[in-house]
Amino acid sequence: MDIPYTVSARPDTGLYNAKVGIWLFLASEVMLFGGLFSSYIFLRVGADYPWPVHELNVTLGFINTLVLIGSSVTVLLAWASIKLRKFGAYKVYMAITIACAMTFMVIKSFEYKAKFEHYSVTLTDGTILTGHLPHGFEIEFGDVKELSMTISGKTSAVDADPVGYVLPYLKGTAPKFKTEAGAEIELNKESFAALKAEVLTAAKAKASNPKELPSTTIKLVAATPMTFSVPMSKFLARPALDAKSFTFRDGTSVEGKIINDKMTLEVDGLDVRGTPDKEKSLAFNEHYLGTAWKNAFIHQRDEAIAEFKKEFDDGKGGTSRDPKKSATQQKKLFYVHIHSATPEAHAEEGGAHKSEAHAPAEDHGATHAGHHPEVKLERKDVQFFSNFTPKLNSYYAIYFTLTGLHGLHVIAGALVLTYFLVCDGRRLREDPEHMANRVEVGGLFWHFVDLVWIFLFPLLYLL
Amino acid sequence: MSAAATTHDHSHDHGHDHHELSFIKKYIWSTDHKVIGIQYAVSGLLFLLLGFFLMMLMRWSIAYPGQPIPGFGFVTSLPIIGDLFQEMIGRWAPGGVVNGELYNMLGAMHGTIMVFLGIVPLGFAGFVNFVMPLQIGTIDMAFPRLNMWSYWLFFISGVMMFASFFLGTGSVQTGWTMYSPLASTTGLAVTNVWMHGHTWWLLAMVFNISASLLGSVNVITTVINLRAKGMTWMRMPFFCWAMFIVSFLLLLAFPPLEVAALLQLMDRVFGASFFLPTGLMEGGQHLDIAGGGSPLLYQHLFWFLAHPEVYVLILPAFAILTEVIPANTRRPLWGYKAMVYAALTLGFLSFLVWAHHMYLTGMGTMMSTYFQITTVLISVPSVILLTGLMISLWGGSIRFTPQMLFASAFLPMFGIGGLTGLPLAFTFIDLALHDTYYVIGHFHYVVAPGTIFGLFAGVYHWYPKATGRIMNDFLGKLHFWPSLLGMNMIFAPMFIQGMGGFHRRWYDGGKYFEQTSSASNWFTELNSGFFGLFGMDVPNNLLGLNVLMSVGAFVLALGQVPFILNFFLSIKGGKKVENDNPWGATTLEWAAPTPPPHGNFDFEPVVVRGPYEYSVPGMDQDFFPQWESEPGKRAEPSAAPAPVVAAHH
Repeated sequence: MDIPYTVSARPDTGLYNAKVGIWLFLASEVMLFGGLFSSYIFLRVGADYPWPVHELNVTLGFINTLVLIGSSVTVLLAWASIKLRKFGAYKVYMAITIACAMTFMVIKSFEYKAKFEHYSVTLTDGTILTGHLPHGFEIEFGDVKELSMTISGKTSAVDADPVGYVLPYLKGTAPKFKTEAGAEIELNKESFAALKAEVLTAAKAKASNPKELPSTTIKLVAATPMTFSVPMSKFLARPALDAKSFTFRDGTSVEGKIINDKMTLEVDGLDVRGTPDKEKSLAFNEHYLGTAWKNAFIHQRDEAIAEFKKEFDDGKGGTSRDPKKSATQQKKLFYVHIHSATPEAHAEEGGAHKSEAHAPAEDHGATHAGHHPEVKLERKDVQFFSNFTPKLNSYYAIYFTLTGLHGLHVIAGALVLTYFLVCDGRRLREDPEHMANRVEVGGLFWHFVDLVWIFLFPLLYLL
Repeated sequence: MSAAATTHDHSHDHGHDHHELSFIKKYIWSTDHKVIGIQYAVSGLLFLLLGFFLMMLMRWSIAYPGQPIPGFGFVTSLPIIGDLFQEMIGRWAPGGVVNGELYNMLGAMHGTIMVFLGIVPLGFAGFVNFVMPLQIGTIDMAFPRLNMWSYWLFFISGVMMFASFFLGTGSVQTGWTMYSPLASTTGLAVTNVWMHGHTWWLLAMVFNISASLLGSVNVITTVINLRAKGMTWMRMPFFCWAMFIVSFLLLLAFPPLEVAALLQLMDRVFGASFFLPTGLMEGGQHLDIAGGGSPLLYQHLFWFLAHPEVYVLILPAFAILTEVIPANTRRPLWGYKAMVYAALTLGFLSFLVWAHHMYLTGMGTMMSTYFQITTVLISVPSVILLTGLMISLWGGSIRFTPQMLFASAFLPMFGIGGLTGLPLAFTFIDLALHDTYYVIGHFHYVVAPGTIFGLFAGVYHWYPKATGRIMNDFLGKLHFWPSLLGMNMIFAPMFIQGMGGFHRRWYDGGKYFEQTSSASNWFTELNSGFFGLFGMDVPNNLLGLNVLMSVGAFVLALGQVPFILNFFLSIKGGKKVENDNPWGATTLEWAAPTPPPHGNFDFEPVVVRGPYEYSVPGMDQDFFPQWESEPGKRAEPSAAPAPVVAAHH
């Protein structure tokens, strides 16, 4: 049973089925990305914080744009080659298209990786410091004598599992634990499972309804006090500054005291756009960046102001543009790239050798020693910190959503084209017209993926 | 089965010769549009039943808050069902009492299951797959394999949705609308956020939406490219027109919901703040979020889908009725062209009314005024559709088959639903009625005795085509009357409670809101007196209406028993159809053998006339099928005008 108009076009519509189908599908894709672009506008217009601009690596983005445009051309040539029955050329063009898709994804993955390793710390006064965490950031607390946990009767979202969620963060070797019954055990998967089964059986014996299992608790006393070093995300809730008790993600809670919760940051950027009194920013405290950097900031700002006044002089002693309305100008004024351990000395006159602004953050390699000032931030001064991931702000959130979804489309498209190239050889030889239709439809999708990027690139990298 | 069908090469050998081999291919991984339609319909019916069951638990909690569910102990003590029930419901209901947490799960899942897993799969996907390709006279959908994938994607989403009850966290609890910020931040203190009922809801919706998108691409392509010879646009049955428009609504309105689901997933799983404003606090503590997002954005994205979705729910019912009513009144559909244009207008306008769900968000009076105007405008095409169906009854010789009973009940019930919606269109009235039971009453009148009655009518109408047997008439009537009674007992009192100020999300039905619930009027007095006759002590106030509604729900439940029996027993025991066209209808699906084999027709159908030529003056028989050039004679391919060839550039 053959569906009509799979290969040839229906006379009155002039279209074969798949062509109607792909255009409809693309219409829904337009609505999908349209919804996301609208969300971008909505979020940017309504942002109550300085919207990040010019933070991405334009060179990489531009290369990717060229790669995708190139692949759109080759996929078209692949289709034309089938129409001309040049099967060899078709295979070459198709292979180039797929190679372009892979290149795009590889470049994209480098961009992503740099962001995952780069951090932004918002201080309590709104100042933002960016940089790298050479040692990560963990809260160290010690003097922990016992673990207490709740065992839920039946499946629950938070079920005690100290072996999986607590012990990995223990410093040193695990001590022996004493159960409430007085037995001494070494805590591991088997021993904990046995312990759990034991208390559950006891609880079940007491329950009234045989199908209802009440929750019960376990306490384990450590033979020697323990010290933990835990990343923030491994707690069920963020511990308070002077916390005495800590709850792990599995609900196991411990008592102890904080030994060290300072964050060591190799600073590569200082952003005071959100700071009310910019010269008194917390970052310029002596135990952080200090007055040398404060002077560097003031110098850069004053230079930028002078430059702006010169450029937009309205002849009446004012400027023809409002610097507050320009995100670019705001960034020039209040954002300092930090690329040396100490600020450069500025010549008194004219600032002859003002160094070029360095490439954006993603270019920084793994070694920073000597290139960046290192500050030890106290947790009480830190309001919020995150690496450059969706958590950081709506800009990076929409950046990752849009490019991630686009990346999935690239992968899907490449898979389909690879299928055409590798697995559809018989159709190519025996029914080239049908094969041409398939490539045409796949190519239309590929053009769409390219088109989305054409919108994404200026929106995220340039505007 | 007709003699014509046996001549077809597919009809018998599937059944006997390679039965073992073909069963899975024929009924599970089927690419046949009719089997897929039945798969959708049966899954949809099962989900409707599940959603109904959740509603029964809710209604119990509303009428008798704090009291254990009757039979709870018995059900949990059953061997396998009891364990399932315990895991799904019981562990959240200590001692069998529905608490607020469980009630929220039931509420959210009732809405989701009914809308996305019940009505859309049955009303749209089920009927369109089974009927549409037959009606336009083609052999299958344009992309049969894609069709199969649509169904299985939908199936995955259904399984995920149902399975989310059994996760450690239980299912989602934030209402079927999933409003952020609540829905972005609740219940995140878990060991694994991927194994969370909310995450599964969002992922299930992504599957569900993908299934709908693929399905609608398929339907539109089929209608555009595979119509039979002579089936011009204005000869196409209204059923196909309505489904065609629904497909466009699904195609264009669903992606923004997918965006909303994706962004909420980003919020919950990756810590983004799309829908979270700066400085958001929970339990007296600042959340560890960046903020800077917008809760309003979620509502815009959500309602951009969810308003067209309302028309996705109601248009299939209209589609079915436009086939059922002419066939049972023996009259042409009144105003066919006007109805087509009205449906097109309705589809277009439905994209411009979404924010009338958001008057209370403070989005601005300008916006509210705009959406108020478009909302009032959209009632015009809706009224044209309803009026067309009503006038079609005029002067007809009506056969009160079960499908016609449901169809005729649909008209006033949908009318009530529609008219009670008008006040809600106005901002100043909506401010008072927003989120009250009035709103619940309004949209349930549209979708429950409205859409669902339409769907029942469709099941009774096309059942003979799918099985070759007619559903039992008496059981059908036994299904109809309690359903009609039950529906009205549940939903009519909601208007009274709503105007009294009952909020839609009270799990105790208003027991702890004495100032609201203690009001009384003539209706509550009647209610109290009525139950007094049976020795039941029902208070003479608005709270007392909860008992009436819950009894109504029970009546409705009982009313479905004859349907379920009828549906399964008639497969083998129903009266056999005497020919391929038992209702004497005019559209092409009745020209196909019964049941239609893979490939559908045993001749090339050619359409020579409009779809509703009933009681043509001067004819002996009271219907003139689309495929007959003169009574009893099939049109030859040459009878159809040559297709106009599209201009090429």
